[in-house]
Amino acid sequence: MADVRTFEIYRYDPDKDAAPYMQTYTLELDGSERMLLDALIKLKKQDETLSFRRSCREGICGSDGMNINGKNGLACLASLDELPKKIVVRPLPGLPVIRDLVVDMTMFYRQYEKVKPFLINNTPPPPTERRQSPEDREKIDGLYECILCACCSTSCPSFWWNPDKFLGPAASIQAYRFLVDSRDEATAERLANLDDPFSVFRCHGIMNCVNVCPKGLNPTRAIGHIRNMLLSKGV
Amino acid sequence: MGMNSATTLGRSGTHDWIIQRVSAVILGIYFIGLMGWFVCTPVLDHAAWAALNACTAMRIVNTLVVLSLVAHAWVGVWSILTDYVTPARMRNVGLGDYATGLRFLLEVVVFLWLFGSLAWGAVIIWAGA
Ligand code: SF4
Ligand code: SF4
Ligand code: FES
Repeated sequence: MADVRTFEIYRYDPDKDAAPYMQTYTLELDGSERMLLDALIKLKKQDETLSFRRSCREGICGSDGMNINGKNGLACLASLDELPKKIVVRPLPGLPVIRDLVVDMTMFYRQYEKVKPFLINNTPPPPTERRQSPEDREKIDGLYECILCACCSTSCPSFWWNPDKFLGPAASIQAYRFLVDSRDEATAERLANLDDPFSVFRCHGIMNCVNVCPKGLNPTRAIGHIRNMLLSKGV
Repeated sequence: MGMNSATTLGRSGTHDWIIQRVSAVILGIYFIGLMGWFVCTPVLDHAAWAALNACTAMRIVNTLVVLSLVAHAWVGVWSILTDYVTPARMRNVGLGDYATGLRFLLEVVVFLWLFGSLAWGAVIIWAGA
């Protein structure tokens, strides 16, 4: 029996359209498509004006985050077997739309930039490398795997309402990743930069972020750890 | 953070967080204690109530409780206002440009109301002392 799927896709080209609209496509799957991204690429052959980002097609680059049947995820990891006959695809919520499924990630990256996502260590490096014990190395597990796909931050109401002040789950994971790194020397400065009422304290523990992360990471827990560090520093 | 941090209660997010928790604990203990008093007092009448609240220790406790209530309410309402009365949130209803001004107005109203209540509460608590 032929596997025919209906796709309802958010379309918006600010140069041509007065307002966004939903366009319906149908596609008969021939069995070679495994993930939603494969289907989208076929649809783009039907209609080359359809725009979306993608690169690695295997959950590594983080470029094809989108809202799939109401839940943020990566198109390249969304198995067609697990999706229903009708698939509704929208851009990641809360960010300005550049075109169709392509959003402007400036605010997202600005929060990322704010946490100084790089090792700060002013001691002259040893001739080989800066060593870390296996236990210290383990502390950044569940953090360093983040691919910055923005699925979490764009599902977070606190980030929707204060995208300029609240780090959001993704940048928080990065902030904690460098706070716990035994090789980093800027812990105190990093904490001082997060002490305002918004950066991490705006998280209300709704856990939408945990629910959508395609890498199975837990930003809420990382935010909790940062708060504990701030509290033990402040008390 | 400009105007926003100028209107928080503590000096930082960490302080606000601590104020919120400590005040909640004080309020919780107070109301449990009050329940206990209601249950254990043999003759519950105005005289008993007035006597309880006339002693200095109880006046101090009541002041602390009103202070906690006002602080707790301010941190909470401020946080609600800075979540929902923001340009990003109000854009949905076409009021994005007015959000910051509107929030400031609401903050002033809530502030005056809460700290007015605090002053009024102190007057009532310490009357006749
Ligand atoms: S737990 Fe915090 S960071 Fe995660 S979605 Fe909720 S408010 Fe956002
Ligand atoms: S934490 Fe997960 S959902 Fe958020 S940006 Fe990183 S990989 Fe994506
Ligand atoms: S295309 Fe790279 S993560 Fe999906």
